[in-house]
Amino acid sequence: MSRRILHLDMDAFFAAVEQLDFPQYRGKPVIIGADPKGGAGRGVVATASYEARKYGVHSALPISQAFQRCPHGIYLRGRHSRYLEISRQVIAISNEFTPVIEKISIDEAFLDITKSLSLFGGAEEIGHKIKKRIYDELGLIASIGIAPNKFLAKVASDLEKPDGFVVVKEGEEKEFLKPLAISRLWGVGEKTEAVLKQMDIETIGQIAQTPEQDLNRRFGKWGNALWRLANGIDNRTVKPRVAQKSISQETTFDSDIGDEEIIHKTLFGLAESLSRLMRKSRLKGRTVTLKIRLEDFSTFTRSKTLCDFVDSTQILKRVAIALYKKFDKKNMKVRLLGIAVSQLNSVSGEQLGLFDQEAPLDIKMTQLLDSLQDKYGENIVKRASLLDKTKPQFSRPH
Amino acid sequence: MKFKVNKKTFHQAIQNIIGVVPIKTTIPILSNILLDLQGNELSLTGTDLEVSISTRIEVQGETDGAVAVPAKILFEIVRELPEIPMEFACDEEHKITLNTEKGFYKLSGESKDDFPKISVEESKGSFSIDSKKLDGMINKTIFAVSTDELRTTLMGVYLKIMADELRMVATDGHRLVKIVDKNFSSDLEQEAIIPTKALNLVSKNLNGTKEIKVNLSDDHIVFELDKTTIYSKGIEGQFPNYERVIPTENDKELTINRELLSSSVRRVAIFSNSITHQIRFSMTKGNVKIKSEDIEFGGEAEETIDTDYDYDDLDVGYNANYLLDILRHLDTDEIILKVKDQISAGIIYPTNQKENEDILMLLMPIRLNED
Repeated sequence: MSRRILHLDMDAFFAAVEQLDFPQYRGKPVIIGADPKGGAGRGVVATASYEARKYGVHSALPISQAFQRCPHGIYLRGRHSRYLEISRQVIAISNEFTPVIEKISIDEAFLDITKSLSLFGGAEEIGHKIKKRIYDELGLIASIGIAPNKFLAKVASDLEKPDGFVVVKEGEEKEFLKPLAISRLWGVGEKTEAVLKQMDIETIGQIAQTPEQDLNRRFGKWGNALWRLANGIDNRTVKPRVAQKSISQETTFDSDIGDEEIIHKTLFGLAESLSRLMRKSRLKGRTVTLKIRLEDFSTFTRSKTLCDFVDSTQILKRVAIALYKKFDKKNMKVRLLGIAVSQLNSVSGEQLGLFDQEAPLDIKMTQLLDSLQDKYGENIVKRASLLDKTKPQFSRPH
Repeated sequence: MKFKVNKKTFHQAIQNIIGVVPIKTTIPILSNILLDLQGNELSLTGTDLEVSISTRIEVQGETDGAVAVPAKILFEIVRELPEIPMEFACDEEHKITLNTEKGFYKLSGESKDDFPKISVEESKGSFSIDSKKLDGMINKTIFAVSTDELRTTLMGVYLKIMADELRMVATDGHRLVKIVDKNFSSDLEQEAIIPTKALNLVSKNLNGTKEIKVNLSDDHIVFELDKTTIYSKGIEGQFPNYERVIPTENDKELTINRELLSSSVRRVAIFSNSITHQIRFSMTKGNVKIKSEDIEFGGEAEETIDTDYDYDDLDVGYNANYLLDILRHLDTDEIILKVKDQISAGIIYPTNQKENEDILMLLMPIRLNED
């Protein structure tokens, strides 16, 4: 299945945050990094604002050289906790568009937006919305690249920096890469570049046209990788990092509820939406927690740790209902119900089971529900037991 | 009801059965044990309604009778008393007095009629088995039993009695142990899933018993030891088709020293992810590398063990704890691991099976994080 991967890269991130927080720095060369000590400093530049880049100051440049090139620059040590705070806000905004986010550094992330396309009106629309929200809410500029894979998305986001927005459509991968310099390929440093130039290769397009075996003979396995990248092939998936401790869904009733049937149905509904959220985030968890708030606002949690990492609606529902049944409400009504799953594990590290094939029907149904909901929205299809029988489900013309 | 008993005998008997008494229960009578005196024989019984245990000791009986006694208090006072004789007495009102030279201890019991009767339907048949053999089979299987209440049929050891062999199988869905005793004969063919609680009680109460008589009925299994009888309801439901999941196409095989492997895995596992305990087996001609890595905390470890592996390279992920459990329950110096690919169960068994015994363990991999 074709994918849409978005690479988000904050422009001159540390410097931009400083310019945002301290208006007096705006429009001036701001350099974050080691103390220049009047040119005698050791260490390197972490980030330079675009104003500083005009003087040839860039990240990883020794701070002493930066000082020579731009002595009047504003040199700052940096406030890492502040950058982290903003970085989290950027991820939070991204998270509203897809849960499949792989944060690769404080100012860079890959988003797999394949499953969010129909919900938000397409890849470009998502890209523009994220960019706009980051600007409107945080006052910062992100460069964005959208492509069928990670490698192309990263090249794309870098291509028109700052304030870049580049989309590579499916089928246009090779065309897009063809004129680009070989240094844009991941892992091509000075050494490889020199060897390639000896072979009269200067553009990615030329690598793509070189027979794969020739590259293999020259560079070994790395040559094959080079050839694949040059041809726009990159199958790596966006792997959400498990920084999250737990994932949950809860709901507060409009009026306090005593009816067991409604409570069970609500738990089923919560299990369903939590399960779906977990599958979207490619997370499974082992501890299921039921949260109950009673009419007097007293709040309780009850947990159960399972042997397996799970994400299935049926299991979450069964555990939640079992926990609920054991809970003594002291004849009070329920104000809020929630289910949380913790001890999370990304699906890639999943313990396989001997009897996994034994519940194929439930898995198939879940996959079917997922694909329908991905395409047409959450309300297009529901498990029958979750239907609200008190309301008409379909409106008909009179 | 009145009898004299020495501390050691009484304490030992209570200790043997207290394991079955539920700690928290909605049925208060279950937190008692039933004492029943007939002549010089005192029987003590505890139950949680699923599993029951009854044991008999010699006392100096004076007046026959029976009473249900709060288990925890009785156990604690008898445990704390020194090696002195004690006299147990109970009146019509179920008031119990324990007299010793140190002083007296009074507590209230319950009528024996309120204590649940252990009802077992008629036995369908029975067999006898050497107690050491059964104990060994319990010990080698019980660790693999599931604690997952969502799959009750995996919460016990599956026992299958056949004309010429006895099988015990346990699995939690991730690993599986199958042990077969071939020096066995029986007239009846039957199967049952026995809760771990009952099997643990059998192991703990052997006390010199040489042979155990096992009675089976439709939904009960009864273990008769010399002085103790354990009754257990079988777990209802169908044990999964374990034969189907034992791979037949595992064509890559390696022989490895069990202790060497265990110690390597223990060290490498320290650096594995604390939730998954994932380690990686990198098998290549001549050796196996055991690696772990915790991306979140940046830890990493690798060890190499020489082996006779002589096939294409293969990497498989396993849960280190599961693997260690398996290795711990095998006896031989060397073990054999047979694998097929990254997603199929590995088969582990000893290089030399014991006479008349056939043991096999399965371990499912953890899906590796490959690009």
